Amino acid sequence: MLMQGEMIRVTALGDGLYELVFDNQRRSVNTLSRACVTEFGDAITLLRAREDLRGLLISSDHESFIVGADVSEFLGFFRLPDEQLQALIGEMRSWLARLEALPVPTVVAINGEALGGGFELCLACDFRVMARGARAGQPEVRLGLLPGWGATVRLPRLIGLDHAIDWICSGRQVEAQEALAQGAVDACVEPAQLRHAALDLLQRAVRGEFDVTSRRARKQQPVPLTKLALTLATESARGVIAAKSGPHYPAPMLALDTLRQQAHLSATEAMPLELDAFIRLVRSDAALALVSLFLKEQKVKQIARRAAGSEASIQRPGIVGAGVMGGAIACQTALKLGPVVMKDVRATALQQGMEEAARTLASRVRRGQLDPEQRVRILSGITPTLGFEEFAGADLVIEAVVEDPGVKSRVLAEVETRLTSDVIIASNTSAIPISVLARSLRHPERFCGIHFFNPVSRMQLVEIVRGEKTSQATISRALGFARSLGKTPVVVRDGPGFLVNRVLFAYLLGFSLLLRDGVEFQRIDTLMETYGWPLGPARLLDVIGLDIARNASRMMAAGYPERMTFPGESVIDRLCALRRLGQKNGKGFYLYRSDDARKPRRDPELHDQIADLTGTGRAVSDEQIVERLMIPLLIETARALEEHVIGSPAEADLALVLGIGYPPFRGGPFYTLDRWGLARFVARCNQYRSLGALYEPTQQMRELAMAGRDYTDLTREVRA
Amino acid sequence: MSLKPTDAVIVDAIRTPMARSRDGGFRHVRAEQLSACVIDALLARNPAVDPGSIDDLIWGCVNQTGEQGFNIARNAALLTRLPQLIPAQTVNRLCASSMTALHSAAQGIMSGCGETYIVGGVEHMGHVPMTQGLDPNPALSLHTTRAAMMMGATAELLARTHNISREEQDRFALRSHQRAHAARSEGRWAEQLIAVEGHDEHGFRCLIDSDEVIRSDTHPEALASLRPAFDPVQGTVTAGNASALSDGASALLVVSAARAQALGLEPMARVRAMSVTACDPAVMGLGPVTAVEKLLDETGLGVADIGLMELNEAFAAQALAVLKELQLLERLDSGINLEGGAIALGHPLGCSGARICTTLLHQMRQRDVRFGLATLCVGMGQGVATLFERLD
Repeated sequence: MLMQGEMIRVTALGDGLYELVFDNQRRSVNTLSRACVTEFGDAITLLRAREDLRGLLISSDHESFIVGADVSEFLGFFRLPDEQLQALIGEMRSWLARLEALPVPTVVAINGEALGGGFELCLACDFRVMARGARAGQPEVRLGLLPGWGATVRLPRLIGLDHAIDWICSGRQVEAQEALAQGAVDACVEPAQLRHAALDLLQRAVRGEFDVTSRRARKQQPVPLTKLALTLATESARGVIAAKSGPHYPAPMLALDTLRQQAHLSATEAMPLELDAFIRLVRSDAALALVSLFLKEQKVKQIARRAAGSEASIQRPGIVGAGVMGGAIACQTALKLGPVVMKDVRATALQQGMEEAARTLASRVRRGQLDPEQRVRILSGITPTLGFEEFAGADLVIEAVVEDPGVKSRVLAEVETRLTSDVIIASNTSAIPISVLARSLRHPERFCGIHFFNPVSRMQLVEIVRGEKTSQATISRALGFARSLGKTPVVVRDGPGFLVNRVLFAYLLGFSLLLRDGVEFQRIDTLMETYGWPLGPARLLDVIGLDIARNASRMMAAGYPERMTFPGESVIDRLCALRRLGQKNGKGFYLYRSDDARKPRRDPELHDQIADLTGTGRAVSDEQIVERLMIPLLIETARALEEHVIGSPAEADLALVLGIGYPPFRGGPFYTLDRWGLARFVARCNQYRSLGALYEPTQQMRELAMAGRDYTDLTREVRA
Repeated sequence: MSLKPTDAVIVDAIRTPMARSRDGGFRHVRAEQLSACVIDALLARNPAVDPGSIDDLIWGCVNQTGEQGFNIARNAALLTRLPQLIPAQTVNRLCASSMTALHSAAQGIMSGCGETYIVGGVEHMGHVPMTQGLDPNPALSLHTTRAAMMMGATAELLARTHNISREEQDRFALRSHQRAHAARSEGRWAEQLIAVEGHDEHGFRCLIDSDEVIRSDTHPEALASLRPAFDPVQGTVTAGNASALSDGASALLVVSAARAQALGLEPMARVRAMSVTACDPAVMGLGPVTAVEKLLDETGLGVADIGLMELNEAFAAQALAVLKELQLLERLDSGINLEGGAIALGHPLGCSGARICTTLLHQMRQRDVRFGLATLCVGMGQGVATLFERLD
């Protein structure tokens, strides 16, 4: 043993070959944290001094090679002045340059994931061997950044500008086979053979079987494209990237420009350009918001993991109530967890559920995420049944019948009497209070809500709803179940709309009030989409369905009458009365053609149909429109926190980004509030006092504003 | 001007109508069948030529897979009255494939290897889409960009480098449709077009005897309303100012001057010169520039000597860039693509080289022009040109 650090060890393999192993003693994953970079530098220094050095193998002892830099250190780095930040990044860059310049061949064995800085380290080696199933990638743009340790320089010189643009500007993960086809790695072998193959390659390289010199030269030279080809490569990518990233996420476009600017330079000349661009992005609002959000996601996942930790995992889940939602939940369960039973009293509903599952799986096959055989296996993992016999041994039953308290209560009571006493019963409801449903049960402690969002296969968020009598063990097992479906669960306290719909409908009530005051919905949609929402409120309502929105609005009004009541008939009510139910029947606020159902078209008839509800109104500025929608949302989120509906600002921020598409670069409601400044926020609210309690900041908000503090401070205190 | 016995002369040139690829008249007619139709028609029109005397059938085709695979030239030949002992080969130089087929035949005659050839080409863009089965080497990205394979992207680049506005492109496209429409209405294609059995919109069997993609009713506003097809943000190239998708075949009968004289055939023209050049794949559309320059250099002719020119209209932006580079823009209405081009007729890749030669040769005869030039750009950066000379 030449070196044994906390992160890295270096051993001699004989014949002048050495192995540098990433082996984080403190955590389950290897990251390139500050401590690890320091040790890496020590290891390189040590190896450079070995006179007998003839070849170097780099590998990992963990499940994954290196998952990237340690993002939890980023917020601290972001506060550093430019020079210090440059020096910090420069440190790892210089170690990689020294690794690359070692006078002997270097080979890296890549297992699990080599992401971000982890793959940049691989790029500094001469050869890369990758385990089948492993993934590589440069996901920095997803955090609003670009690679800072040389990937924008080394990658295009290794695999060409086209692929480098694809990797770096999309941030996607690349499977081993594709990496091999592109030349990003030199071999792809069975995981068990990985180290053997890497060592074999190293020995061959040391014997001189491969031309290491020309490989190294290629990485130092300009990208060998003509000027016209360079223009074509970047300009043909520009439109696609611009359309995908939009104006609020500058990283992909800056990455593209950086790749272009330095393509015709030598590597030495190119490296400073990457660093400049990196620093520019560090100073962008989007990077700070996205990094914060990433850390919140880690935290939320950790909370769920810990809570689920000690409880037995769910083995035999069942679903009662087929149809579209039941079928979608069954499909996700069969896909991620294994066999599942789906029951309904009507054969047609079972068929509908199976069709839903088949449709979802078919689209996965189309996108290449499943092969047809897996699809059949997964589909046959769902057992449709009309009786309870198949539920023998079930440990979790999700009720997914219609959103009707009476029906749900009856079904839940039946489930309880039919099954053994230790089964967990959950209701999939988007708004009916769990404690109301619990009244029909003899063991409400074993009952909770599991609120899946639509479409189940794509929506990451799941609300685990804690009723008044729900036990902690029930919550823990439900959390474990949601995790095993690949979802990100948050625990919310019971109440109308739970967290996500409660906040959403405060926002949508703001929308209804704007319509009442004569603001055109198209103008609102355009403004809110520019603000960063994936869909403006009118388009969103068309997707949700106007009838569903009306019912939910009524439930909110009943639960929070002082704030959530719309005075009189709203435009939503009117559209329902006119059977304009949204996308599902081809017309809502907009018209939809069946051949292109997602594209909204203007309906010239609508204006007259709602004219009596929309009045002429006063002039409302663009800024006022945004505020009149965002303020109710932000206040309602704060109120939910104060009422312990949600455990922390971090959980709320993440839940609303995942649940309603809150613009990620705005970091979530609490992040937005802190950036806005609570004193300024409260002052803005006062402008809208005439609009009612919906625009009334909470007591805690006023206190924080008075004290000059914010939710970041509050979080810190809670943790301390 | 006197003919040498080993000069290659064109005796006849014909084509099928260009049918719309999407739900068009040839949707139930395969590429081999289209090819066989033009070959048989050519033989029928020239009874003096013994089908058994053909030295080789040389056929252009680009996407040689599916019904166009496994040497379509031979598979088509077996459907015709050509004896089974006549050989056949398929050649591929993308959009210039059938012009290269002509070059091969001419070279065979000039070198004394043969005296009688049928050349031509086909592409059924509806049955075999351009990129079907395409699997570019990822390593190509180390040498050029894969966007060079996206022809629309290369046209956008030319629009930018040569300052060609959307309006200029649309105007050029409009001209193509108007001129093609005029040529058709005035019956100027009667000698080159053969009718082929196909199906009408209801599936009824019928004779397809007219080109399907010409839009006689198009107008500037209609073209201006189209959205950019390749670059949604700042693009200028649309489906309207790019070549349309169509299915078709075209063929030429090429013989030595000696054979023509012996059989008493009257040549349409002789092949005076041929050229092939290559350029940066990123601007593949400029291929004709060097090809034409090389051809003029070799013959000592100037552009002023060329009475008629057929420049394949892959894209309006590309054609205009070529004309700008060759300083031919002001000749546009006096001698270039006077009967429209691929924007109006469509561009069945393997057919187009022979198709523009056919259109050119008939025009040369109708207008009594001495020198005519046909040229095409080729994907991934090549240019091919042929100079024809009419005989007194």
